[in-house]
Parts: sequence; C-alpha cells; structure tokens
Amino acid sequence: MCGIGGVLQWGGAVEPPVLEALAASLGELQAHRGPDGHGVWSDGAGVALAHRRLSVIELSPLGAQPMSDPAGRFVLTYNGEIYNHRELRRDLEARGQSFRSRSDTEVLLAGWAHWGRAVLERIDGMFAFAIYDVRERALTLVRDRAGEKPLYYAHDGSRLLFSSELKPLVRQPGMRPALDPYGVFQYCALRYVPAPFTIFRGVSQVEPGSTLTFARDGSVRRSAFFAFDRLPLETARPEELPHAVEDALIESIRRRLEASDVPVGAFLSSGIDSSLVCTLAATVLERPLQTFCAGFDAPEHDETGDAERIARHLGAEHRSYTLSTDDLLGVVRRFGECLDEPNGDRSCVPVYLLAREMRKAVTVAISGDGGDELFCGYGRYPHFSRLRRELAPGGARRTLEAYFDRALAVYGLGPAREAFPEEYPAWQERFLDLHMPVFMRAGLSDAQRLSVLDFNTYLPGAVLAKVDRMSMRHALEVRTPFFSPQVLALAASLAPTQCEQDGMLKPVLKSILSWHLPPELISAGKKGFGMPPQFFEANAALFRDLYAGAREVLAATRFFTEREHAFEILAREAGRNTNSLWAFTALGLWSESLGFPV
Amino acid sequence: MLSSLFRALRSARASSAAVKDGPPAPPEPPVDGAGLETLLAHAATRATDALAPALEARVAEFAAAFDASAVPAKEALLVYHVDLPAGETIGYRDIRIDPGKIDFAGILRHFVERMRRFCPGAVLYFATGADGRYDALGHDDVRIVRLPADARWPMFERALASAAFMRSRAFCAPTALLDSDAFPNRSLAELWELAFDVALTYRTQPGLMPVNEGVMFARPERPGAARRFFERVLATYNRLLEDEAVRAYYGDVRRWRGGQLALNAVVHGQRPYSPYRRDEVAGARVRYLPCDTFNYSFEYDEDVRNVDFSERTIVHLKGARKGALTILRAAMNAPTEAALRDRRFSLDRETPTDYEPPAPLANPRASLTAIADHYKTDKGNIKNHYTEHYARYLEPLRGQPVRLLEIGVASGASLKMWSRYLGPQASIVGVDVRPECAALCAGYPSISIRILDATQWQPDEWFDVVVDDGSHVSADIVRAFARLWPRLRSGGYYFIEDLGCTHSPTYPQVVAFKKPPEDFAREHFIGWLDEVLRSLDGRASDVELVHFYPQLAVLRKR
Repeated sequence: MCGIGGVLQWGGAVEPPVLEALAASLGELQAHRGPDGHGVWSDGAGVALAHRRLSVIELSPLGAQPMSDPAGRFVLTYNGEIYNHRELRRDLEARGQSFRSRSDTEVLLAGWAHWGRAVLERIDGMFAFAIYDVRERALTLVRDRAGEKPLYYAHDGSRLLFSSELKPLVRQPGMRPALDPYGVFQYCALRYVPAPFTIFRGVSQVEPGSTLTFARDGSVRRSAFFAFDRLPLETARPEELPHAVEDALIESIRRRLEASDVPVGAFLSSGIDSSLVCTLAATVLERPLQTFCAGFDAPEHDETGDAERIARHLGAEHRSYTLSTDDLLGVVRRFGECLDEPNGDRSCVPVYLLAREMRKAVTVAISGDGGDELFCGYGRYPHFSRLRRELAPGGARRTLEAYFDRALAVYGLGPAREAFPEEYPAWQERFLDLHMPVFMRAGLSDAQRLSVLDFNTYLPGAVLAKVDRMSMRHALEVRTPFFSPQVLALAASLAPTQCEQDGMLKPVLKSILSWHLPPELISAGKKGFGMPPQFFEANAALFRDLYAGAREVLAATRFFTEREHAFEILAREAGRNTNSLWAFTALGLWSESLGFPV
Repeated sequence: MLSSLFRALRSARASSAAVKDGPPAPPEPPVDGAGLETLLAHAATRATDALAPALEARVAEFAAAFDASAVPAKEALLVYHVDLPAGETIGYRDIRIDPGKIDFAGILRHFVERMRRFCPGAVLYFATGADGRYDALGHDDVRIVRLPADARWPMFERALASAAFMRSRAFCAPTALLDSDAFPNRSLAELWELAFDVALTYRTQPGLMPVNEGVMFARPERPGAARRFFERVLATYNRLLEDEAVRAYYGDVRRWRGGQLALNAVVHGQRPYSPYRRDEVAGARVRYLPCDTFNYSFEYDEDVRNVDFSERTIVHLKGARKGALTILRAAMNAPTEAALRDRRFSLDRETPTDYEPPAPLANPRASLTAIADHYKTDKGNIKNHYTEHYARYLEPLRGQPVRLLEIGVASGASLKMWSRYLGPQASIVGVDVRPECAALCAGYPSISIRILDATQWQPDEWFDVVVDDGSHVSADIVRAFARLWPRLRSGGYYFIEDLGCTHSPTYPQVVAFKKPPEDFAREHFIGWLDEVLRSLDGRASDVELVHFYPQLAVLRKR
C-alpha cells in the first residue's frame, strides 16, 4: 500500500531534472502513505514517475517501484493489492512468462503486458496505478472497481500531473489552486465531491472502475471496465444465493488474509458487516484473529461491549478502545491536516483514532465496508420509501432530488442551491442525469435503486475516501472483502426481497451470520461510528469556537470574498443540524491546513 | 391481470396461436457464444466512417423522401418496414422467420394505437417501400414515407433509412427508432429528460449480440452528432457485407443480422455497457439503457408473474412472440385474472359442470368481453376473441326482450354470458344433444335448455339471434341453417362460429361426435355460401348482409 505520483510533459522545453524533482516531490509529500521506500523513474524526455512504498508483499527491494517489465516497454507505479496475484502468476507462467520476485506489482506489470487492459477484468484487488507505455509514449491511469484507492490528476493540455492524494498535487509549482464553485456546491450538497470532479478547479479524479489514457498526440480516452448495477444472474437460484454469497465471501477473505507478508487484523464492531467478515475470517485463519473495536463514552452509541462478546465467541485476540473526549477533541482541532480533500463524514475522526491504535499491532486490516451498499443495509432506504409516499409523485429526477434533500442531507438541496444557483443546472445535467436510469428501471425496489446510487456515489466519495485517508495517515492498509468480483456479481443479482424482507434489512447477510453466531450476538440495529450528536452537544462550546474559527478562515478566502451571498447562506445554515455544522467546520479546518490562499 | 397476460402470452407461443396457420417458429437456437464474441471483436476492427459514393447518393435520395414528409412535432417515432418478396424467408444460424406467417398490418395498426395512447402528439414516420401497400395507415400523425428501397434486404435498407432520417428535416424532435413490433408501453417523456445524442438498449444474455437495434433513441439538439453515429453504422454495415469472417459466420447479412452486427461493432469499445457510461462514439454522446425496461422482451419460458408490466417503456415482441399480438392487444382492454385461470368451454368428452363465478360482476354495463371472461367461456380473451365482434351487432339489443338461441351448451357458460349481457328481459335458449346438459344453469330463470339435435329440429318459435356453436361439422352447419334461418325474425342475426373446423384436416379426428366422414367435406359449407352470396347479389333473398371475421360468420335477415 503506497502513494504514487508523476508527471508527463508534451512538447515545450522539457527539463528532465525539473520533472524528476517534481515527481520526487509528489512522492515526498505522501511519505505517510509509504514509509518503507521510495523511487523515481524518468525517461529523461518528458516522463517521470514516483512511488512511496509501504511493504506488504515481497518486502525485499525486488518489489521496489516504479517497476519496468523485462522487455522495457512498460513502467508501472502502483498503489494497491492484487489478492489473486498467485493465480494470475500461474496463468502467466503457463503462457511462458517468468518472474524475478514474489511481488504482485510484477504480476500486474506482466499481466498488462500480456493481456492489455483486459487484465483488469481478471484482477481481484484494490488499486490505483499509472502505467507508461514507452513505445507508444502513452500513459494510462487506472482506478479499482469500487474506488478504494484514490487517484487525482491535473491536465492542462501540455502537462499532466497525477498523485494518490490531492494536497501534494496542488502544491506543485505551476499549479494555481483555486476552489471550484461546482466542487464546493457538491460538497455542500453531498459532504464530498464525487469523481471526476474535485474541490479544486482544473483538478480531477479518475472515476472508479475506469481508465484514462493520455496519448502522445494529446488525446485523452476514458474507458470503463466496471460499473455496479442490479442485474439478474441467469444461473442463480434464489434459495442458493446466501450460500453462494457465503462461499464467495470466504474465498475473498481467504485471499485478503493470505496476500500479506505482515500481520493482519480486522475491524470489529457489533454491526452485521464487520461481524460477518470477522466470523468468516475466524473460520479461515489457523491462528486467532486479531480484532479491534473503538467506542464512545456514551452507552447508546457504544458498540464495544457487543463486539467483545462476538470476539470472545470467535476466540479472537480482541482489543477495545474507548475514544475519550480528549482523544476526539485532540484530532478534531487539527482535523484539517488529516483531510486530503474535504470530507464531511462524521466518522472520519473515530476511524483516524482507531487506525492509529491498530497500526501499533498490525500493518493490514480487513473491514466490512461496502456491505450496506451491496446488500441494502442503510436504515435510510425504508425510511426514504415511507417518506416518498408522502411526497408528491414525481419521476426519477424528483426522487433523486428528494433523496439528497431529505434522506442523505448535509445542507439540504434548498440552501445549497440558493448559495450556488448557477451550479444547480450543471449538477442536474452532469450528476443527476447519470443516476436517473436506475430510477426508471422496472422490477427494482426503492432500496435497490438507492443502493446502486450509493455504491456509485456515496461509497467512493465519502466512505472509501474516509477509510483510505484516515488509515493511510498511519500507513495502515485496509482491505475490503465485499469488493471481490464474485461478491459484487452476486450482490448485483439479488432479488428485491433479498435486499429487504418484511422491513428487515440485509436479510442475506443476516441469514449467513445466523449459521455461525447465536442469535443474541446478531445485531438488531446499527449504531454507526460517526461522532454522535451527544458528543457535539456535550462539547457545544468547543464546536462553537471551531465554527467561529472556520467562519473566519472561510470568510477570508478569495473564493468566498467573491461570493458573499453564498458564504452568508452557508454560515447561517450551518447551525441547522450536526451534518451541516460539521461539514462547514471541516471545510474551514481543511482550508486553513492548506497553507496557501484559495 | 398482468400475470395472466404473460401466462397467456406463453401459452400463445406454445399453441398454434403464435403465428397464423401453423406452429410457432422455434425459439432462437443456442449460439456458440465464443464464436459470436470473436465475430463481434473482429467486426469492431472494421468500423469505418467512409460512405461509398453510391451509398452516399442513396442516403441523399432517402433523405429527400423524409424531407418531403417532415412535419413539426414534439416527439417522433421512426419505423421501417417493407415486406419481403412473396415466399421469401429469413434464415440464419441463429434466427428463422417466415414473414408470410406474420400479420404485419395488424402489428402496425396496434403500433399506431399504442403510440396514440402513450405518446399523444407524437408523429410516426413509417418508412416503407414504393408499392403503397401500407398507405391506408396514413394520417396526420402517421406519415407514410415511400422509399426506393430494395425489398430483399430489409435490414440494410433500414440502416440506410435511419442514416437518411438523421440528415433530413424530419429529425427535429426526440425520436425513437423502433421495430414495428416494439410498442410504446408508457410515456417517453422521462426518457427525453436524459442527456444524450443517441441512446441504445443492451442485454446481458449470453449468445445474443448485447446491443439490440430494434429500439434506439436519438435527440436532435446536436443533429450532426446522431447523424455521424448512424452514418458510421451504415458505413460499417456496408463494409461488413464483403467481410470474409462475417460471411463465414452468417452468410449474406444484407437481409438480416448485419444492422445489429454493425451497431455492435461501432460501440464495441464501450463495453461493459451500463447506464453509467456517457462516452462519445463518432462524436455522439451515447447512453446505454438496459433492455429489461427500455426494450422489454419476455422470455419464452419466463415466469413473469411478478413482473410489473407498467414499468416497461417499450415492449418488444421479438421473433415468434409476434403471434402473441392479439393477446397483447386484448390485454390493453383489461382481461380478468379469474377468467384465465381455468377456462370453461367445449369439453365434449367430459361431464359438463356448472361454473359460478365467486362474486358477481360489479359493472352493470360490463362489456361482453368482460362478461365472457367472468363466466370463463372461450368466446372472449381466453381463446377466440369473438366477443368484440358480437358486441358490434348486439349492443343495441341489451335490455330488450329478445330471444337468443345457441346451438351447443357445453358447460352453459356462454348461456350465462348472454343472459347477463342482454338482461333479464331476454330469453336464452340453449340446445344440445347431450342429456347431461339439461341440469345446467338451474339458477337462471331466463335460460332454458333443451336436449335435441338442431339439425333435425323444427322449432315453432321465433328468435332474434341464433348462434351456431354446435358440432362445427360442415354438413351440420348447413342443415342447422336450413332449419333455423326461417325462424329468425327480420333484422335478426345468425352467427356461425369456428369455421376453421370446416377445412381443418385434423378436426374429424378430434370431434367428439360420431359423424359420417363425408359430412366433414368443406364443399357443404362452400356450396351453401355460394348459394347465399348468389341470392344476395340478386336481391331476391332475405339475407341482408354476410360478414366474415376470423373463424366467425354473421348474417343479418332482411
């Protein structure tokens, strides 16, 4: 698990040392992602690639990057893990390839050289990488199916810069970072900025499940290799599906536990997803599983007791932390530095703290992220279905707007739109339009439609961005069994009643869990890991101060100086609910942490 | 209602109702998926934008025909259909169609009905050949565009017509390009809210080309974009005609398969298709929409009882599903679930049993079809679809003190239907040769059942309506008519059902009654008909009119 960066220059006066220095700087600024090594490769004529390494597989220098293939045609800088690298290696060896190391990087490189883009369909893994084709002088950026690993880029026609993280990118010479009104609008509407956009003008993200190729003639070609959608699987019999999901999850967990030369642990709350992942992991592992849980000093939001009982049942080596107010406040105060791009998710701070503790014992941890989107676990789905019956009937667009306004609200669309009236039509055309077809689809339940929407937006934008950035601050690598291609395909084929049955959410995962755990250990309700409203109330004075500070910082930005109207609305509405207060505060803290005016 | 519709559609395929006069075409045989995949990948490498000069001239010629028909509209539908030359069929490794067995005129009429219902204000451009065969469909909202098209090569000529349409003045509104049997099933308004230049429909079943050419959508805001796209499809199609791999796999694809192959070749690089893709092809923004909603074609063996039919934007009767048209059309007029569950009709080998619907029919003015389905006779949606024709003549008699005679009682279901339809003032008389029929319809005071042979009967009473649903044996029809026509009042109607039995080669074996073989001869019926028609011409007879419908004849007495 690592950080990557690089630069590609077309025409003009290319000074290789400058490009190399630039690439090195991109790597250096991401040292927290990869403390174990670093490297820069340059062709001396317009391309420089950088890599920061966290060694997880093949700890020796044979796994160092950027890496070239034996023929010297491709150079790879890669952040991620390929869990089925051993199978792929066997396939490639059968086709006459030979390998120098045990590293998955070398397998990816050889696979790309052999199959081209089609290798992506064979990979079970999380990844963001850049691969340079020396012969064609073309650079391809690639991001995994669910968007677990980040990849930002800025392309002005003559120069391309890319990086795992956003802040290092905009700090490079020649970048004139300015906040993008469309990005800020989306942040206020959603609490994150969905790909391909970012909070900065002129900076983009590679979209999950897609590739971007920059050719030497200056053309850019985007191509997708994956999109999650609910589609019936011809061969699946409904009653066999839970068993098929269990098999696929076990296989996925086995691969994620085995593909590591360093200690592996697991997140364990009392929720269904992490309970299930830990339960199945305990059956796979021949030694006790190391599990970790953190809770709040507030009984109704604390899951540590339930998690401990599950861990005891599984025979796990369990560690439990209670996040004290001081711990939380300590991070909250300097939260801006923890953030790469603004993220208003209230569970960022707790995840940051838990990851810090876990890194003391393990380098890699498996988690239950994605279960809610794939198997329809969010309480807001049935809640929204009820709400929708009360709203005036409307088509796909109205439904989507109601969801973002009422069920997954930050500011609510009203204030966000009022603050940025010119951005709204663009949002309708670029964002809502993309998600309308699934709300026009026949034969899907509301929960299924919303979960497809969430998988493609909220999951990469808020959840996985949080998991990656908060864990990588401590160089802890998080692996998610729910995203193996087999689990994704099975989840896509669920019937409506397998997503929600008589008001019960995630019936498939619950029935699998019931085969392994006694009923009293299976969670009835979700508590969540976000900082609870009580925490905000109990520390109201501090949050008022933080809000005041954010207000001051943001008011002074060039962006809001030019948009006083928008600023007044956002500042005023921030007091309406915890979500908007925290989103506003986080934006202010983040802006302050940049160290340059925006 | 919907589940019963689909069950009926399935049975339509299973029975000979699927196509006129014969068994249904078999489902498309399984195709070697790997071979098709290889072909598609190969075809993709042949994609081109270069239109040969001769082809370019034909596109211009077609476009001029569209120009001449263009009218302003808020929404347009484009359908291309030219009949294959008589006797010719479509035959490829993965599809076989005999167009001679398909009722295209009926399909087109149904298409127009559906368009008017779901797309009010839309204009249909019906692109067809120069022979004027379908001119009668023309209307303010149905523009007949006669093209100098080669009838032998429908798919190639359609690709040409699509490209020509995009450069004509007719392309001034959002347009759905549809097969004639791909019917609008709900408003397209929401679809037109999506941003695209071209939208295509895709499916994921193995062995089929993923993108289907039978349902496509184009928006005119950037007309050059859709035009470039469809010209690329046409140019690619033209190039694939001479391609050796294509010829080896399919043969000559000018007739069929080539359009879809070219379309898939052009968008091959966009796989996997998904609504989340919005990439450009030939400078057009292309969206991909799943067939399950936007181009819905039920599976032959699909258990669709849980399908909500109302959510399907387009319902597409691909292949042998076309035969299900009559049922689909009837479904628009609400067939009842109960009626279809266990139908009651002529079960002559079994002891007839009374059937009473669990609840009375609520609507006092229910249609004859609804009443037929309620009592489970086979005269309505369940099987024969006679009731819409009956109602055309008998509707004025409802509530009148008329007397109706029906030959052939069976379970008595149709007698109950007549009684409920005509009202309590009407007298309904049923006659049948089987003594066990006498006990039926006991609770219906206006129904009387007599056990006798109508071909030997000399009634002394008068009737306003006679329905011959008796043995259907050619000679019996004539004998009964000779005895009963004289007892029909002036202005009365004489109906004869199931005329197909007079020429069915298998009917003599399946009929339950023992009859001399010569009685089945078609000549009895034809001789009688000839007499009736001759007398009609001479104005000497008391026959005022003779109307024929499929399987049904109506005569009115002067």
